[in-house]
Amino acid sequence: MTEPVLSVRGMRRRFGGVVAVRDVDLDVRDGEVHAVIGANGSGKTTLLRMIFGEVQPDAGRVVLAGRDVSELPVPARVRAGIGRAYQISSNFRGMSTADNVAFGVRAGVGIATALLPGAAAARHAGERTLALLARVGLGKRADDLAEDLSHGEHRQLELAMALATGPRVLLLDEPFAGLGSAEALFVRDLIRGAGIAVLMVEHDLDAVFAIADRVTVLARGEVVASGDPAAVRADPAARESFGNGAAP
Amino acid sequence: MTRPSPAVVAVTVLLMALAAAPLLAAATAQPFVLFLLTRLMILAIAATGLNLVLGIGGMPSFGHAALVGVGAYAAAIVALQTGGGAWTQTFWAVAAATLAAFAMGAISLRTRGIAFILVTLALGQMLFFFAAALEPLGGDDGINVPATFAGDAGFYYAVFALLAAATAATAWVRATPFGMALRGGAVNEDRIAAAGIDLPRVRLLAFAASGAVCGLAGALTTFHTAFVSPAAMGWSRSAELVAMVLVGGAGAVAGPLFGTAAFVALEELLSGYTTRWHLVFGPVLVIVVLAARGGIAGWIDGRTRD
Repeated sequence: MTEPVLSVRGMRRRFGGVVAVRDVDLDVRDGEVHAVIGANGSGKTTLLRMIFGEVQPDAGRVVLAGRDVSELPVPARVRAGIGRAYQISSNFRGMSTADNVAFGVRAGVGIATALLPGAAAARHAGERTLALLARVGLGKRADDLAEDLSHGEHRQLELAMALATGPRVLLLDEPFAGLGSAEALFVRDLIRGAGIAVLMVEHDLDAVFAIADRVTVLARGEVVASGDPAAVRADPAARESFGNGAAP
Repeated sequence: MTRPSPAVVAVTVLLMALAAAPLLAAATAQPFVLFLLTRLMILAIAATGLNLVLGIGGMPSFGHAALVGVGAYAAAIVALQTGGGAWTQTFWAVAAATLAAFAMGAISLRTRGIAFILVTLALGQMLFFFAAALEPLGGDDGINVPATFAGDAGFYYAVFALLAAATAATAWVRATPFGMALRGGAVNEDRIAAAGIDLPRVRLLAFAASGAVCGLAGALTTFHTAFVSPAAMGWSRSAELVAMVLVGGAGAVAGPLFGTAAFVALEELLSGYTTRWHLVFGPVLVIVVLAARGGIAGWIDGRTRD
């Protein structure tokens, strides 16, 4: 078996008297989609935010391709190869979709490049930006303001923005939230087609079992089941944690 | 090429009017007008410096008048102690204000929102009281400085050229990746970090650059008035600069010039009637901020778009 691209060990975080995440281990391998599922408040999003560096864990390590990134701030983790898409589309609505994506494409450039005049800077990042937009199906909307996009298109833009930094592992926070079935199918193909390691937190169990190579179930901050989707589906502890109705 | 926005056209017209003003003043024998316009342009340069931080970067600094003051005092000290000329004075004014802004930014940028306002205000007041304590430089009363320029048209045009350059620099910086990151950070810090951009570093650089422009304005003030005093460094002066940027249109290239023009025009018109002209300026500020989002520049652009 190949070495994991992303390796998380002993992640723990307490908020006041509540342990939100308790000693979570997980691995994501290259080209693999690893889904973390669980009820609201099970600690999924906190786990994701700790891996990305937005929330400081009380304990635990994050290792990216053999390099311990646990102490790095968010921008440094991004440059090391972790990408992140957000659940609530919080892109820059007053800017064009191309400008939104260009942020990530240009990150880490030297100060000389950062002070290039607008037109030259656009040329500098333009080709890759347009390729990313085309890849997520927004090729024709490069010059449109982000605020004019539909909900589904915002999800596509989120993916393009996350891919813009050239990540080795992509963290996705509920990429299917609020999508119609056709849009969900499109996003599903995009994630599968990304060809890089993906760690996603998701509510939509149909989507998860259609796309994931590996599923981890969290309940009250602890891993109650982890493995390939068929095994997790059959696991009684996992089934219990989904509650009624939502059982896979 | 995209067509220039109405606000850009308006600021070009305004700059052209400023360029032609000395001819008009000479023809009508009204030298006071030139003095007033020079003051306006120097204030506009300071407001342009603040606009980078406040308007484009979304960082509400209430300490920028102190940075202008650091520049003014540095120019005065060079003139008084070493008898250095305009270039030497300007160099040290810009250097000192850049350094002060760097320190102010390094401390204040650890905070956000109200705390940021209070920290910049407190650091500005610290510089204010420091200047007031400089007994060899007149303390509270300030001190006269040997005149570097004898109020000639050359100085007027030098200030004009610097204002035009500062305005052009704003337009340029706004469109660079650096400026985009600064603007993006004003909307959503997390997103900029998630793009792999070190926003604190971008902001600190912007703060220092803003200080450099304010230091330049400070040196020009010393040249213009041949006088320095702590009175120009206090927090109420910082608040006036903030008001100029907001009234003109925060973040807009033309904003500082519009805002300063409105401020100076109101001051001139109203102070003829009452010394408490701020009583009128206050409500005007509130109305402009509430009614015309984006200030005067936003209002000019918005009107023609409909």
